Amino acid sequence: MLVEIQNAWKVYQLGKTEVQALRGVSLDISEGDSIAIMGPSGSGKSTLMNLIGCMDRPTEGEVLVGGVALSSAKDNQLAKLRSATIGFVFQSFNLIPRISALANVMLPMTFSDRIAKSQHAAKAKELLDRVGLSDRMTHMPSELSGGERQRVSIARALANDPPLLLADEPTGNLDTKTGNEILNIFNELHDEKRTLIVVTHDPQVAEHMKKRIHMRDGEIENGGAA
Amino acid sequence: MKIGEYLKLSWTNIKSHKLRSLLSLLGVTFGIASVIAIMTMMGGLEESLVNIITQDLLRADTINVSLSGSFGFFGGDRVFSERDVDRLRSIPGVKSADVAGPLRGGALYAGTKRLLDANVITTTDPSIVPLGVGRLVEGGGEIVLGANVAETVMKQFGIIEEFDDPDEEERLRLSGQLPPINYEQVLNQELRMKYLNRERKVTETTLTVVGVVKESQFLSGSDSYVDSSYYLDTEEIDGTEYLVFPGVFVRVNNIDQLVEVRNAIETYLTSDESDIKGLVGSQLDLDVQTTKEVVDEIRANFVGIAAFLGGIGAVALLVGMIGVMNIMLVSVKERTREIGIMKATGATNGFVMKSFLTECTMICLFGSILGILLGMGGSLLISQAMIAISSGLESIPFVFLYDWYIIAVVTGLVVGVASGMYPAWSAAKTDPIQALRYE
Ligand SMILES: Nc1ncnc2c1ncn2[C@@H]1O[C@H](COP(=O)(O)OP(=O)(O)OP(=O)(O)O)[C@@H](O)[C@H]1O
Ligand SMILES: [Mg+2]
Repeated sequence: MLVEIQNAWKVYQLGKTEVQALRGVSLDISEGDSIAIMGPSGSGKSTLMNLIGCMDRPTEGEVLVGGVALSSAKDNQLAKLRSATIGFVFQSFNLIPRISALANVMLPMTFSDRIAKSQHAAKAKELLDRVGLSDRMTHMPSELSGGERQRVSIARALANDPPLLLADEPTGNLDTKTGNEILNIFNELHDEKRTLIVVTHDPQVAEHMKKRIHMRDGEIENGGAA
Repeated sequence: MKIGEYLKLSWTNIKSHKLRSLLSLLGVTFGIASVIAIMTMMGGLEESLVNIITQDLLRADTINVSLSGSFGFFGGDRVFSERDVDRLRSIPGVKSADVAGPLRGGALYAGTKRLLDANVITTTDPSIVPLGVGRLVEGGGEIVLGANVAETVMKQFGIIEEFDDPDEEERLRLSGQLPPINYEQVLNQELRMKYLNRERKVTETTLTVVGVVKESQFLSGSDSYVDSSYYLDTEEIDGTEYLVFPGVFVRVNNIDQLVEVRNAIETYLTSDESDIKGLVGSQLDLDVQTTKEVVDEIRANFVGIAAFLGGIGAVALLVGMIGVMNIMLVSVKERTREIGIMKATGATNGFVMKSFLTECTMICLFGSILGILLGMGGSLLISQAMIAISSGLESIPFVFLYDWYIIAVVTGLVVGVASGMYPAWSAAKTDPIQALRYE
């Protein structure tokens, strides 16, 4: 099992009020799964993604990623786990603006020993090529369109060949046409049997996934994996 | 990750925030530059002063005896009697003991004109006079002129042109439009001297110029030297009038005996047998110093002044350091989202910490290297200012202070780490989720 979520709670304390972002979520994700997470705004989708992505620890319950329990993991262990296991694609791309597309894709490689230093550039080029950006490698993020930026960030997510790809509304900032281009890439990745978790409001996107999860008020509706 | 990669990454960061990096760099640069400039200027001053003392005034085998706080060669109260000097000569190991002192009431005339700013000094050892041209006095009727006096004499006699504006003249000489003064031309001129003789009556005599003292910013150009026979300052001791001098120069036979002889001199002069003790009693506070000790004392004084001035520079550096820290904190804040991205893509806290520290240290290191260069240049300016506000100083030689350059570079490193520590730590502690949400 790649990820095991066991009755995970995430509670934020805002002064005297308590915000229960996740309220006892349980979910198993195995290799090759593709899951769409859907639900209204504020239902806890991003919060859940942050847990799966080892960016956060549950307030209660447990999350195991690659067998490592997050609740007791040190910051450095979480960083290692992210580096080895997770590839993130964000709604707002989150590229580093001061460096080229190529350098952005190479960035995660510097945090991991997975790929030899001498191969970083070649590997990054290969990934950019695969998302159709072979002629945009030296461009700065500001010189790229939204769809192109998202493709760079997909290439970056794939840099260390992580077993798990997480995408939080990857088409949220894109028009339908560009969004579809991005979805095609996800479909390809899905066909390659990569494990994929996508947060989306778009039923069409969800269609492409093997499983669909609906969230409401910090809980998974119908009790779990559908 | 290797250090080389941190350097590369930091360099990219520095380049992409050029103005900001430059501003924080300048804070360090000015701090370091002010310290280096001050030290270079002081070092130059110290070297030239020590040079003149060790090469022109005092020899290594000489012990300088004077009252505390005065330097016998340049004057002070006249309390060393000729009998004391004779007794110093009889101390084992002493080769010679000589005296020098200003001539009371001494006044020089070129033709009918009284020369201003002209002191007349006599000495029993003419060879202590740092000679520029000509020869030393060999007896009465001869005089070795101070450089300034020689110049005035030459103008009075029409040997060289006189200027209404001395600044204009100096400018012309410095720029080479006027040739340097040839002091040879004053040799064999005759001057008149009035002085008080032993009966305290004003006496007049004629002197032939036989030499001119070396031109130096540390030697008073107004001091001229005549034979010791003109010296007539006396005190009544044990019912007899004895000549009294402001200091004694004792030379030893063997340089290994310096300390031994010095101690013997001190013991004698502070004992009740000495005339000086009888004359001034409990006020007696002697300086009995070897040349090395004189030089050490000068150096120690310079260290004191340099420490004070350097302290001001250090404050500038501290201000610069706070500036760097401030700018780094802003940088961390501004790059919050970037930190979030790096963490999301696998960067550890340690990486974030080290990358900010490296960046800050690099800026400070560049700043200090630039500061060294700027300080070396700035020392020339400070030297000019020093020369302008002080009378007598003509030039301060430039010296390379390698120790200080190393200290400056190390300081740059330390300042970099010290000012980067907190910003880097706060960057490392940033929560990646919050950071990614940061606008
Ligand atoms: N740091 C935080 N402090 C306090 N409350 C928070 C924090 N982060 C999230 N929340 C709250 O937790 C709840 C779930 O947030 P989350 O971001 O997971 O929603 P979401 O399902 O991703 O919504 P959207 O579709 O709008 O992105 C929200 O009510 C939100 O206000
Ligand atoms: Mg969300």
